[in-house]
Amino acid sequence: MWWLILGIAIGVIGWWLVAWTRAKKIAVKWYEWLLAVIALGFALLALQNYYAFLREMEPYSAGVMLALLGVPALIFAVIAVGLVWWENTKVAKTPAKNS
Amino acid sequence: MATNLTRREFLKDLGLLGAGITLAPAAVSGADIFDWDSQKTPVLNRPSWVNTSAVPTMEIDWDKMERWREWRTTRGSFAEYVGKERDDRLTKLQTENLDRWLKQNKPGYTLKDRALGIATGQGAGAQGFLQPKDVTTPEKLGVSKWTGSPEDAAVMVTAALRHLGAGTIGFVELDPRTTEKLIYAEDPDKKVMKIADVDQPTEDDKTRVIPKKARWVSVWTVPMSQETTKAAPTVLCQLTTGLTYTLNRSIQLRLQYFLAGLGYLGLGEASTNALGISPALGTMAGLGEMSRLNRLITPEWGPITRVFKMITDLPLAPTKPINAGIMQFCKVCKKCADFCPSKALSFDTEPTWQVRGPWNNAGHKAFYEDSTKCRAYWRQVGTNCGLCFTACPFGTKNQAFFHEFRNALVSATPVFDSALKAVDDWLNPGPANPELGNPFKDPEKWWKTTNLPIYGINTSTGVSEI
Repeated sequence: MWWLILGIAIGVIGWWLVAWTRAKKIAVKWYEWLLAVIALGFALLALQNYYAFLREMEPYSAGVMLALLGVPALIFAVIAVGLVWWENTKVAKTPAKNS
Repeated sequence: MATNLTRREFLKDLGLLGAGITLAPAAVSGADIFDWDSQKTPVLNRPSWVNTSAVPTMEIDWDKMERWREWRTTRGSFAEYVGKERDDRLTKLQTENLDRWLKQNKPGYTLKDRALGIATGQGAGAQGFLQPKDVTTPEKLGVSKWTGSPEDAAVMVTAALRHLGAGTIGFVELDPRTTEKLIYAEDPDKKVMKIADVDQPTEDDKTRVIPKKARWVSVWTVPMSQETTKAAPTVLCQLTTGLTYTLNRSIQLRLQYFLAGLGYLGLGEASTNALGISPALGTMAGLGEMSRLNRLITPEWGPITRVFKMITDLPLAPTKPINAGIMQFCKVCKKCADFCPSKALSFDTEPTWQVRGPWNNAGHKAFYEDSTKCRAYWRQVGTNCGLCFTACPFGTKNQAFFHEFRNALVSATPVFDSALKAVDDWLNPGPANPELGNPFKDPEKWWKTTNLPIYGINTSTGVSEI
C-alpha cells in the first residue's frame, strides 16, 4: 500500500516538475532528466532496503544500505540539479545577440 | 563517426546496454536464465533462480561411500576421540560455566533462558522407527489402500507435510548402488539398520529391519527462528534447535499416521538424527546444497533450518538436486570459518575427498570439519553454539531487495561472488565482543520484542494462494 501511495506521489511530483520547468522556461536537457531518474532509482532502492533491513531487525545493516544506495542517489541528484542550474545561469548571463 | 548522439541514438544504445547487462550473467555462466526449469520440483514453489541439476553440486564417489554408523560422529564418540581425561575436564567446565553465567545473569544464559529451554523440550509426540499400533488403516475402514501415480503421491504428501509444519519437501528413491548408502548402517543407539526382503518392518533390542519394498524417502526442512539462532552461542540459540526437534517429533508422528491411513509404511527417526544422513538426503532431494559448513544450505532459509526424513513404500516421484550457486559461493566466502570460535571449519578454497577424522563419512568431496574442535567449544559454552549459522550470508530473512538480487546473481554466475561477500562483510561484520559465550545478537532485545512471527519463522515463504 505504501509503495502504491509513493508511486502516485512520485507521478504527481514528476508531472508537476515538468510543468513547472516549462512554465518557468527552465531548459532541462534529456541527460539531466536521465540523471534525475537514476537518482530516483537509487533513492527508491535505498528506501526499500533501509526499511526492509529494519523489519529484519538488522538496524546496522539498514544504515549501511542507506549509505551504499543513498549516497549515489544524492550524487546523481546534485549533478542533475547542478547541471540545470549552471546551464540556465550561463544562458541568463550570456548577452543576447542582435537584441 | 558521430561524437554527439541524438536522443534516438542514445535511447537505442541505452536499450542495448540494458539488454547486455541483463544477459551478461547468462553468457558468463553458459546458463539460459530465461529457460523456465519445469523439472525444478513438481510439488513446491521454489525461488525462480533455483535451478535443478542431474547431480548435486557436491561430487560423490558412490563406490567409495559406505553406509555410515551414526554413532561414529562426535555425538556418539567424542570421549573416544579426545580421551576420557579431556572429556571429563570439559564436562566440569561446562557445568561451571553454565552455573556461573546463570548466577551472573549473563544475557542468553539467564534463568528465563534456561526455563524456556526446558519448556521447549516438552509436549513432543512419541518418536519411533515403527508406526504406532493404533493407526487407522484403510483395511480397518473396509476400503482399499490409496492408489495413484508417484507424481500424484508426491503432491499429496507435500500438501500434507506443509500442513503439518514442514518448510520445503523433496523425495529420494533408494538405489542400493547409490542413495541407499545414505541410510545408516547403525543408528545412534548402535542398533543395526538392516534392509531385508521382508514384508513388514521390525525392531528388537539389536536391529531395525527396513523392508526392501520401502524404497522412497520423504525429506523435509523445518525452519528455525533466525532471530534466536542469531543469539548464538547461548541457551536462547540452543533452545531454537530444541524447539525445532520438538516440533518435528509431532510432524513425524502425524506423517506416520497419515501414511498408515493411506495404507503404507512410514518408518521414522527412532531418535534425533537417526535413520539416515539428513544433509545428504536433503541434497539429493534438492532441498539445498552442501556447503563449507559441511551442512545443508537452503535457498529459502540458508542454513537456519533442520532436515528430517521418513522411509515409505508409497511410490513418490523423486525431486532433483539443485544448483543455486551456493556451493560455488562457499568456495569464495569462508565467513563461517572466520566466525567459528574453535576454527573447526575448513579454510580450503576447494572441497576435498580427504576426511579430517574418523567422525567424517568419506565418499564425497566436501569441506570436512574438525568435529572435535566444534564439540569441545559446545562443551565450554554449555550449548550447541551456532555461530557459523549466524555468519552465513544466506541466513537472512530475505525481505530486502538486496537479498533477492544477491541470490539471483549468485545463482547466475560466480563472477560477482567476491564482491557480494565484501558487501556482506559491511552488512554483517561479526560479533562485537567475541569473548567465550558472548552472544552474536543481544538476547535481551529479543526478550523485549513481542511481535515476531509465530515460532519466529516466516511461514509465507514459498506460499502461493493464487
